[in-house]
Amino acid sequence: MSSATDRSPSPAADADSTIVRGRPTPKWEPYLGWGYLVILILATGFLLWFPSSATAYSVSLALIVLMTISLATSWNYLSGFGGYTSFGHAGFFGIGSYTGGLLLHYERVSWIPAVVIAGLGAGVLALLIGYPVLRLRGPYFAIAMLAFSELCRVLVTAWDSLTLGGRGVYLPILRFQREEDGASAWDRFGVQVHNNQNYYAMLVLAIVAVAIAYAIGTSRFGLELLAIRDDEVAAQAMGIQTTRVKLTAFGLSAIFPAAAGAIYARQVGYIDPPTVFLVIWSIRSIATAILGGQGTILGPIIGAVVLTLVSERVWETDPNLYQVIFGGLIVVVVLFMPGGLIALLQNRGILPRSRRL
Amino acid sequence: MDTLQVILSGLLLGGVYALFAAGLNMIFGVMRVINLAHGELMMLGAYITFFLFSQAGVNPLLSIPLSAAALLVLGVILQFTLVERVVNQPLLSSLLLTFGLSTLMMGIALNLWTSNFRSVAWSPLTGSWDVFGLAVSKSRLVAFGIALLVTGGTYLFLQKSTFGKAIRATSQHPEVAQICGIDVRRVRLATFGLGSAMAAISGSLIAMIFTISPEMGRMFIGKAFAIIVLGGLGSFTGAFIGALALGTSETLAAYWTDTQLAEAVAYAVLLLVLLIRPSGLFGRAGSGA
Amino acid sequence: MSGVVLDVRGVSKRFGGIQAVNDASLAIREGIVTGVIGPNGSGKSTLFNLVTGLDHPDSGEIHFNGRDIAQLGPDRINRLGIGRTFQLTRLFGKMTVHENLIVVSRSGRREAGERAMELLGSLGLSGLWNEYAENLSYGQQKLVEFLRLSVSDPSLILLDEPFAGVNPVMEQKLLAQLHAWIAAGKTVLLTDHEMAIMMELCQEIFVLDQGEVIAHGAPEAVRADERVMEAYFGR
Repeated sequence: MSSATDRSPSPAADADSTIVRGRPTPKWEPYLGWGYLVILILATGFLLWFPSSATAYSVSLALIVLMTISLATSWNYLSGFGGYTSFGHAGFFGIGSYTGGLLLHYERVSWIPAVVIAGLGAGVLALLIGYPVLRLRGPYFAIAMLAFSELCRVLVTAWDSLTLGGRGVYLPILRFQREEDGASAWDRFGVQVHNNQNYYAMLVLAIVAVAIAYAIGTSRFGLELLAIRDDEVAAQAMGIQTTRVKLTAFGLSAIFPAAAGAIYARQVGYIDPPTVFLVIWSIRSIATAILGGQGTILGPIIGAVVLTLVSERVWETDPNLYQVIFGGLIVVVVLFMPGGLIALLQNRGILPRSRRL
Repeated sequence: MDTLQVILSGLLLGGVYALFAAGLNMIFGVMRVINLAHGELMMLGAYITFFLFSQAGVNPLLSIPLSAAALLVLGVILQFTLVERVVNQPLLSSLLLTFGLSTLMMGIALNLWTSNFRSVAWSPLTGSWDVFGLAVSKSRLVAFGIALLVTGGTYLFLQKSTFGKAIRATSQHPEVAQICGIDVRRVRLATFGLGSAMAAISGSLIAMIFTISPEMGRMFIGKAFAIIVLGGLGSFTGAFIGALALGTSETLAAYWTDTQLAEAVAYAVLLLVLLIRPSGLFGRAGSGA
Repeated sequence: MSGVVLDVRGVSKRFGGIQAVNDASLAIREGIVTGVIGPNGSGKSTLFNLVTGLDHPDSGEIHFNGRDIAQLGPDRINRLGIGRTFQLTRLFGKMTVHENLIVVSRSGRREAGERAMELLGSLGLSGLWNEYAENLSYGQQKLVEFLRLSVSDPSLILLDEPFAGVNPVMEQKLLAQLHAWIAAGKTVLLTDHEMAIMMELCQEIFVLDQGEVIAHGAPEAVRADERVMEAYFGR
């Protein structure tokens, strides 16, 4: 498959000459498969081993990174690959938080089933609301999802008989602490165990999310999403069942913020509507995904690592700078790096162009 | 009688909403940009009024032209440096850009002024007047009057003046407008500036009625979208009617149920309209799904 | 006389103040090339959109192989066997040519890939397989659009101004592809402003003017028709 950059204008050469303008082309790197796999295995191994030798604080930090990976990767399914920007991720995070949190609070199930129920429940909800909402194009969809997220917050706050409204929900660990009068210090072992359990739960979640992203990115389903992003009408005219594709991506994307929300609830021990439905969760997901690269698999991972490390440092010095950083980041990325870090690296030739990234 | 009072109160509030939404609508019409930072522009206007009042004792009504001027300048600067770059890109870019701006501005405001609520309590405007037996909040009535003036003035400007017509031409068909010799770049700059000024004025007015905080922008942007979607994107009169409708239903909901649910009204309306009739009551068909 | 595959009856469509299509009726027969001509604004593109489901008629009926398709969505209609190209090419720009051909395929990944390369080879475009579609020249894009449409092997093919803005060499290639389709027994409905080609290619022609069908028949008959003259040169 030779591709000489022949720009000769002669008509005879027209059909066979190649690049006319612009970006160089993606190549499928066969060896990428092996090196890639090795790196992935090593990384996973490291992550599994990590808690046994790190401080509780580092584990909590790593937990946040993993959570951000899940959030951003799942946002990517519909919004990155499919181009349907959603500002509703916070809504699913909050719903998952509350579903998991309430199940634990009322002590209906143990924590792992709670997380799973929260995740899958959100997925089902997404499929239900997805059908009408996904008929909306571009900005209308984004706004509708923003409204959805806010509406969820308000409804959860208002329905206090079930959700305890604005008072918030205390989860078993903290409740246990509070009931132990005279227990002046945290039960160090208990917290550590919980911490590690939550860490592993987030790790599993992140791995699943990324695995799904890989499956999407390298499959025809992923190409269908890209086609929808490029030109939905043409995609339909060519026979792609856009509604089905969008619904699937949307349903999948709702599972992860919800499950992450449930684990998060368990981690911090106390949730209330303003916190878990905070738009900042949507902002985090979006900023991470676009920083790393929309519609890529590794983008959210790179974005999450960079962003979390930067923002945690910032959080220590000045919490309110948080929003400024994220906001400024989104502005900078949109204007100067629309393809994110991955595209930047690819343009410099540091990373190969491949759908596997 | 009570209900009538509540409805009136809602209508007055709606007038201020209308001013806010009109600016957003205009920006969208001319540039196809959905300015998610519009709420923060309003917030800045509100704070300008607050600070002028609390630090310098400036009469809030007098602060209005000042906040309008300040945001006019800021709007033009923002458009010139940032927004112009995404004008010809897919809507996604402008959506994300203005979203980022909104977050950025809110963050800076939180940093500077903390999240505490502030209020402007100007004695001539506290309390209410008796109008035909109904108690009408003074601040709301005055705010409504000013909002009406500015909205009406803008409407006339768009309809009658040469530059106003240039703006309308550009929002209907930018390429054709350009061919006819209209400097669309300048139109965009002016429109964003004007829209920002209108947001600022509505912010100053809101400061006279409610307490303000750096996060208020987020609340109002949701309402603005509900209004625009209800009235139909691109329709000036539609947005006005939508605003009045929203103001009234919100106030009624707060009166009948509780304030929490009142907040939900805007979002519920938004979703319902988008799902049932995306082109709104008066909008151009095909502007939705 | 071959059977009618596409039956458009009394179809109308209005956009705001404009009646784009006004009570138009066309019967497209199987296995031949039918042309639709008319001055700009006569409703040709709207008609195409109505047939392919990108829009729906306000009134009238559209039947494809006996089946009512007027209210169906574009993807459904495509799956029933109608394929189309667009006046201004609409390839998926951020995907490679190869991916453009794979994504619309309905067979397995490996099969789709092979078919894609086969199709590219048939037009001498194999070298472009890995290029981003948006980097191709206009003529190349038109060709790829042709290929993309043949991936799903439709029985009725609608071509919206395929020869517009295309150089002679490219034109030859497009024509070759067209002839290949005809030889394979497909039905082709096309519209273009290149009169010479239309007259030569089409066995039947419908003439639209201001949304109405003002004439139809064999090319020579249509060419001589007074109303057609008036529509193009008269008013």
